[in-house]
Amino acid sequence: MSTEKWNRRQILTVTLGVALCLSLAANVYLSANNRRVNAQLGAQRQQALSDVVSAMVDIEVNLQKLMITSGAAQSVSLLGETALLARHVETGLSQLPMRYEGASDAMKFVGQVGQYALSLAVQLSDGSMLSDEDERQLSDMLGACQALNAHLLSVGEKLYAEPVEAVSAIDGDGAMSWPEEAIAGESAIAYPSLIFDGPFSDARTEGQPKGLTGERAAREAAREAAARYAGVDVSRVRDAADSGGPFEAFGFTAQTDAGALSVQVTGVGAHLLWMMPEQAAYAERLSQEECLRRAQEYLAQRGFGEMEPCFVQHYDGMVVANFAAVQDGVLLYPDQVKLQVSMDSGAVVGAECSQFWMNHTLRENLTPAVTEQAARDALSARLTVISSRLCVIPTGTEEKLCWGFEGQYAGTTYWVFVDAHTGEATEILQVADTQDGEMAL
Amino acid sequence: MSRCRKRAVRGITAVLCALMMLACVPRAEAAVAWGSRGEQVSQVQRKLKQWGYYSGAVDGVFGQATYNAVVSFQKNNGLTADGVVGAQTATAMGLSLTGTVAASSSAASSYESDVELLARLIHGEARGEPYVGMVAVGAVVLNRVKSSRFPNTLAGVIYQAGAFDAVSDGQINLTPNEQSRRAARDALNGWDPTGGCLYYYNPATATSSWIWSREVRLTIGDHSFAV
Repeated sequence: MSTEKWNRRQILTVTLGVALCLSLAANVYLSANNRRVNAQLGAQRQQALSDVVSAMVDIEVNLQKLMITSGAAQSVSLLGETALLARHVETGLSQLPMRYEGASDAMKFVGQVGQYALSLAVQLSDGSMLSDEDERQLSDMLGACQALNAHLLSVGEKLYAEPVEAVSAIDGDGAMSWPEEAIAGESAIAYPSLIFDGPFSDARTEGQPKGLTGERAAREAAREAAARYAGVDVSRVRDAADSGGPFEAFGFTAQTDAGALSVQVTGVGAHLLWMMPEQAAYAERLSQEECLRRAQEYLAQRGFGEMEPCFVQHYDGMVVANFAAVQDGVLLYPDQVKLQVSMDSGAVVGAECSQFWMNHTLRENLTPAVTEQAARDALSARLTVISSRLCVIPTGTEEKLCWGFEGQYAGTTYWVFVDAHTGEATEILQVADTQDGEMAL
Repeated sequence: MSRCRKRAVRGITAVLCALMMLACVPRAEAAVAWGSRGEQVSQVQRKLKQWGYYSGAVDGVFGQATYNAVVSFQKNNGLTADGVVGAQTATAMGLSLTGTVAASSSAASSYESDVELLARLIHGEARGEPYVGMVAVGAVVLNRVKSSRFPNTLAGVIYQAGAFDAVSDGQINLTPNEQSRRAARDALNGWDPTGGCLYYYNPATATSSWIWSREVRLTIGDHSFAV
């Protein structure tokens, strides 16, 4: 009996001992693994930082060279290389563990350097030289580049001094930070303000919606509008969260027979801003054509004016169609409304109208200076044209009246847009077939 | 005595199992399952059709018929019959879930992989939120892609160091549900309930004083959306 008791105790001790050893071994293994992963992560970030610094130094040298180049071809080549390097720096910066407030200014500046370089390269491609204003901007950029480089180099030194700790320092909210200071915080470097025609120009701000007209609506008027857009009685509309920004809007939830719809109605004029079904996936009973017909009817009945479908997809039992406004037969691509039509009931269950309200206004000068035939002659002979249409397209900060051609080459469909005032090809889009429908690239 | 030994063996086995589970926790494999869509599903359907398990259309949509076929295949091949094509089932089928075969057009498959990546982020960050809140999270990601202050690719924004908790804690590797996929498509098609917001945070848990200084434009579910 006592032998058995002793044996029990012995077995228990042995079991606990084995468990302890195993847990210690697992701990040692996991910490070693952790160290390896940390070291690898640290190495990757050090490499990203080195790449960023080296590309920034090349940008700095290129900007200095630009100041003294005498030939346009040389300038264009330096600017092209600078744009590529800026892209490289942006990618590298995003891999570094920085806080937004520090990283975002550096990233914005580098993005602008790249866009500015490209924009200047286009400007100089006709053989013209740098203007005094260009020189001033290049000189400002150079100063900011030098300051950013000096900062990145000092961060690099800290990173090499304490590689693992520096990369694994995680703050309370999950964002990683550098040991002492954020890279190039707003106060650290004064970045120049760059104005040019490009997607990242400082001149391009959110702007005011051109299409929003009418008085500021009261909540009850907006509720009635929401009921009209959702196609239900006003008693089935209840309040939801409002939204701010350039489109200040009232929020509602409308209870339809096929589920709830979230609806936002603009404060100015009580127009539909967006609508979204809370339920996913509808049965597919109706055809795409029938759904498009219902969508067009919806737009006409709710005062959107003349609109045509320009792009159609279908997923989850919904036809998702983009409609563009039409003025004097010209298709206005910037003034788009997107609608989702349930293929089960044919009801419009979703809408996105912010682009429409931002851009919709009466256009002047929709008469082309270039004939359709002359524009067609500017196209590549390899493109087989299927159809053509006069349209307005958005280009960076402005818009252009263009002849739009749908054509085919090697089994792929393209849309080519030729400026209807100058006859120059402005934009080429490739149409790709996806499982949801077509998309333009 | 023998009972004691058995108990001891059971104890040791339990400890070993717990340790093995601990070692396995951080790993997450990509899988094709009910609700999945795309080229990988088509590949699975083609294989199953070739071997006579599946008689439906090769449409890239994982529904009831595909699920039944996968379960039969798993039963016949001694695999766990869970209807999910994970690493083991994929290997048995001679497929690789990480290396996707190129679709008819690389541009189209790139769009579809964008949908998938955005859907995974939405699933990891906002599942359980109202549907509008899921689209809003997708819209914030796309607003960042357009903003000069953030990387200019979808993957660049999503994988930016420290940007999203779902990336840091690995939840981005979970298979997204159908709702997350639809939210991703809606966001990619231009639905932006946030009106251009670049940030969101949970006011109940956010500790950064900087994030509180941003202008909040909209609150949906647990998230405040800000610029």
